[in-house]
Amino acid sequence: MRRLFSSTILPLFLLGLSVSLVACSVPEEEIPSAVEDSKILLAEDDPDAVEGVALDDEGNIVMGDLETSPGGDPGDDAGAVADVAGQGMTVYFDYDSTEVKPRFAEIIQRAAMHLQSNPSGRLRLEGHTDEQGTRAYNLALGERRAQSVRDMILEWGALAEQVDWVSYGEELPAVTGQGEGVWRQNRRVEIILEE
Amino acid sequence: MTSVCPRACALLLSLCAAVAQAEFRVDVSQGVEQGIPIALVAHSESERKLAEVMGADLARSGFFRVLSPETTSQATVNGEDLNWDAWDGNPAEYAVTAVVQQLTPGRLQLDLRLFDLLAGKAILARRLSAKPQHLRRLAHQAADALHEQVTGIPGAFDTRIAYVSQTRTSGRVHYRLYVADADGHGPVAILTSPRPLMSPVWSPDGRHLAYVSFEARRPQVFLQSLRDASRRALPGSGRASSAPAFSPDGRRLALAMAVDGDMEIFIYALDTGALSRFTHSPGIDTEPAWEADGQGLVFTSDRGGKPKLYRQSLRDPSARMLPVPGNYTTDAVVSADGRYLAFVQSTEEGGYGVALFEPESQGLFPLSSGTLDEAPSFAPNGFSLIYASTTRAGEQVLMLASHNGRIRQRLRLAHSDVREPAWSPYRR
Repeated sequence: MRRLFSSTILPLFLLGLSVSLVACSVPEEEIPSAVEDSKILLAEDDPDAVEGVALDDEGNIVMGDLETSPGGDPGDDAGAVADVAGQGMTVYFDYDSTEVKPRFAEIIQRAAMHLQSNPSGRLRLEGHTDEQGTRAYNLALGERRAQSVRDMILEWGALAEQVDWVSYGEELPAVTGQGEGVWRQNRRVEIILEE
Repeated sequence: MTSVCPRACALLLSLCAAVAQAEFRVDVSQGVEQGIPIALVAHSESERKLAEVMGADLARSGFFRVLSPETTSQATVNGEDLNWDAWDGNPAEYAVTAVVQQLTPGRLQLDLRLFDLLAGKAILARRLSAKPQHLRRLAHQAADALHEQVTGIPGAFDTRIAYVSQTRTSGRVHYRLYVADADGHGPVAILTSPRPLMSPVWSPDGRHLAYVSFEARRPQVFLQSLRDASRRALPGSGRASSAPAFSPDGRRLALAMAVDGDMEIFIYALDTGALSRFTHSPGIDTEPAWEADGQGLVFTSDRGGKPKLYRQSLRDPSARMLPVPGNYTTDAVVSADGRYLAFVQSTEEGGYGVALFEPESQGLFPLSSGTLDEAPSFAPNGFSLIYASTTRAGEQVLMLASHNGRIRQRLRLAHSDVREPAWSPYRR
């Protein structure tokens, strides 16, 4: 189910958007109508976008969204959300979820476009989890997260040999510490350009 | 802890049965309440050292209440037989003498005697010997013998643990795989890596460890000999492999390998190198644990939407979910006698704890309730556990717990996080 959603429906949804549109605060369950209304949502219904943060379905601040300006939030892993010409980009996930949220679709599309315009270009995806739960299970969870992102990049036309991926499970947290504020920054897939 | 008690007591009832079969009848209800009172006699410095190690072992098992050592010379006659009159009114039910002599420069001899104070007679006399630098091992062996004589259950004190440490020094992180005595003494780092290490497990003969190393920037299962430190990546372990588990006969290794982004469980024949796929589900399958008879595996799968424990036979590819409640039950291990499963479950407080499940009675016994307790591993006698825990301050430590969860000992390393403990089999 989750795979079907992320790999099939989401790209179709994106095709209906111009690249500059950002679906950052659209809850997943509202996706059908969001396709038409996303401009309005962005302008009027997303006050957080101005401050460079986004909220997930539970109202938590999501780090590393598209609008997040570097330095906008000291807790933000801003360097990891630079554009693809920089060091890399990061996609964040909900607890125990492998589903790529619509707000990260543009990051993924940009990564795919980069590969398409650079046939010798290579990307590495590193899947990570927070520390909750057991380590070997989290290794598997990180693998599926990386795979979810990879599937979408390939659907955008990148070649399979351009995208390598690995899971580190919970072994290499971006931020150390405990609590949801830390954990949400560690549940991620880092998209890393390889020279 | 108080809410745990009724269920923990149910576990102890099943322990009573085991103890009742012991050669010497033990008052288990009292043992459950307070432990069996036992006194160790120690005269010389080396005997005091010995008694300290033996006493810590026995106390940690949860079966014993170790009284402060008897150091008065009146306790014994000639240091060996008990001076019975001197023990009148002593609260101990058992007394132990352990006389250490250095016969040659290279040899310590230990004469161990166990006295049943209620029956008024010696019930064990054993002579052990070791090199002088192995005094602690001598003490563990003596404690093993005492434990078995009193409870009918072999002690597991003369065993080892493996675990992973993470140390950050001046900005650099080192991961180490350690082997230490079961009480945490004498740690030796058998591998150091700048990249993460995970999931060590012992081969049933105690001569090898399998573990996961990220040294090639991807998770790979390695096998390492403890004798000569030779090591190899498992051939055919593919793009990503993890969660190794030796079969009880030591001839096969179950492990999780990535197939199209999903972890699936495979079985690798160590002698032929043949690899066979064990699970075929669209979800995550990992953390395999062999059942004691080697005929099936318990593992974690999220095929039902949440990570839960399943059981599948080697012969029949259909998996059954274990009747264990909760939204998150993972990382099972099976005791060597097959009697108990230990696993990790999410707790009502939002943390993760270790619990025991007894398949025969379908009994469920929460053992711990921490913020992030994980990685349970049974002592080879099935009556003690070690697991990883994270303190409120975020420090990663190891916990040694008795079968009933009543006795716990925390093992911590200064300036390092420790995790992923694995208890060795008996030494051969």
